[in-house]
Amino acid sequence: MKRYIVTDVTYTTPDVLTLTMRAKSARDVFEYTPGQYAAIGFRVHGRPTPMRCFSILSAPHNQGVLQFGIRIGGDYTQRLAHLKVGETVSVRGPFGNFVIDPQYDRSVVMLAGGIGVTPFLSMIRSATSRGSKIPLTLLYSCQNQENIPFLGDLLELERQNPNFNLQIFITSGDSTPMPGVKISRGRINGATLGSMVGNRLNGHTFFVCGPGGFITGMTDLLISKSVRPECIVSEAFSQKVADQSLNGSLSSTSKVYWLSTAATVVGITGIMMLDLMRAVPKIASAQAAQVSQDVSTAVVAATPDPTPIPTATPYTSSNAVVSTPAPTPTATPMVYQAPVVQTYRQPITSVS
Amino acid sequence: MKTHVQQSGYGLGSEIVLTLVGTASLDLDILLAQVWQKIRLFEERFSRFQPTSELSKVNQIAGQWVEVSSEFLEVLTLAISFSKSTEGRFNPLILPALQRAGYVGSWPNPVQSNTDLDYRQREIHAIDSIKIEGSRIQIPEASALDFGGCGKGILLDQLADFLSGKTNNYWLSLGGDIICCGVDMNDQEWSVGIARVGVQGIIGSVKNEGGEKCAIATSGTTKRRGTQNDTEWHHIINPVTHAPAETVVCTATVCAPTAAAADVYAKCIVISGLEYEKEIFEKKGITAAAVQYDGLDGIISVYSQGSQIKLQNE
Repeated sequence: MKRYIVTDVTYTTPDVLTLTMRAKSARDVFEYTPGQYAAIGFRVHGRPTPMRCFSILSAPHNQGVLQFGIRIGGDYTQRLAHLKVGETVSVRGPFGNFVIDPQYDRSVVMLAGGIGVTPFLSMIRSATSRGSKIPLTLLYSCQNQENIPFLGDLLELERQNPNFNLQIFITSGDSTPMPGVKISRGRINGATLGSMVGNRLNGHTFFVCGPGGFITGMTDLLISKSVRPECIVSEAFSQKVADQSLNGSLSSTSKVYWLSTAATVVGITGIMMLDLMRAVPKIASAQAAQVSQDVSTAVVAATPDPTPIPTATPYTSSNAVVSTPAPTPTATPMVYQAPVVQTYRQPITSVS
Repeated sequence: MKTHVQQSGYGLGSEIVLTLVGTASLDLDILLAQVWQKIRLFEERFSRFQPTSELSKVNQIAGQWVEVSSEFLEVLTLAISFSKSTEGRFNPLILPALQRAGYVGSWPNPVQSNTDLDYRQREIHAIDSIKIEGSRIQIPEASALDFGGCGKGILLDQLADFLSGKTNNYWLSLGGDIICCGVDMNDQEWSVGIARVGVQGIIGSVKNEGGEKCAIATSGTTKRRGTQNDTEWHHIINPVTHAPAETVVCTATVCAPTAAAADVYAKCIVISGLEYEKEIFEKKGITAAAVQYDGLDGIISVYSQGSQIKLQNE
């Protein structure tokens, strides 16, 4: 268990919160790969809350800093939204293999539905900071143009990274031209996919993250375009407790990664086991038969054993209702590297 | 028993190092988190690289009256004051020339431009052209505002004000501009090294004598430079020629009562040379200044009240 101190709680849109934390000490620095998620817990009236999983928004080069993008909906996230700067948060993980493998993923197309963009931001930030040459295309589907989570960050990353290409799709309401933003109305479909990526889709790895319906729809689309199943990596999740509960079986429409590290953690701590059980996604599957050799089906037992547990990246349902007034939205915060310095540095003035 | 906490990070386009010293009873971690938050908020408001910043919004509707925040007004008023006290050597309306020189995007990618934030076609105006009425301001049409290093200095001064009364022992560095106060973990005054040009190491140091608050800034042509159309550029723009200053001053280090003054006057020495160094030391309340010349190893000119600046070989 790592301990982090809250350094910022900012609304990116009226219902999406950016929670920024810094490692309490050098021992608490949390190492992860872009695209992974973590379980966090905190205290309310002195008592620890259950741990819940959320996608990591920050990138590892900001060592010592952890950032999560969270859609505020239920009781848990509303309590989370009331965290104050300086409060301590417990962090477990990292979990998940929804990560880019530069050895195999030579061109990456990211399909994001709503707050499902979160793990992609971590990937893009990391690739940009490293000067990665891997082409990254993000097709980002949002309900309306007024509230596009992390738009400012994405535009800035597109400006900084010549290998990153962003296209936004507005699925309901009007879309109006925005200077410097490629934005169109409607859903991601075969035509738009072709115009962004080209007609030869098999040279790319497709990462899909969003609500269950979005995952299914995008997977359908990719399969219909003859994309090989092994080139589709998807994650679906919900922050809602009901969706985090275990319902026995799980099936996936695409490549499913197994979480052996999580299983190890589960073996060590029974509490964490329960939390992880809740974290197993309930993924609707309409395509299992079409991708038979790549479909994995598992029944996860409620006792610690080496049975692999499917990865799950948190996803907030897009119809979450904010029952408390949200603060005025502010610009998405810049991410600061704030590691604890191991060796004391003397002050030196130099050309800035 | 004194303890300290030190963190480094990246913001405002440069490296940030924050060091606080206190007693075990003082939660330095929380204090430091609050300092980071203030830095982030400042950048959100004043960055010329963020389309959503208040500064960018002012620039995007240049020529129109616009209601600004009290924070923005405070910084703008200070910048105007510095522009007047330096006879226009510092001009926060110089941004179009800086971009034409080559510094368009956020460091370290100066050539990458966002069309909305590209003001290369705009004009340079004198500081008197900025109008203020209450909380409303108007910058000239087809101009663009940027507080540059002066803004960084103002932020350092604000952070020092914030820390005042909470802990009096600290040093904060925003990209090499430093403000320090009090004593270190061994109850000694802070000793701030002056980086030697070209090679590792320091060439002298500055003391905050008596534990007094002390601001030190270094400006120069050795960083934030590049090549555009086979022409080398750096980021210190001469407000007369609207081009990178042609100067033999490689770096100028200035100690002043405020970090904003230190940054502004250091930049002006780079533009105007040694005569101006002498002038500001005698007339502008600057407590120390040191200059390194291009191609010469070492400080070639130093003014100092008492022994505030101590050269390495002394």
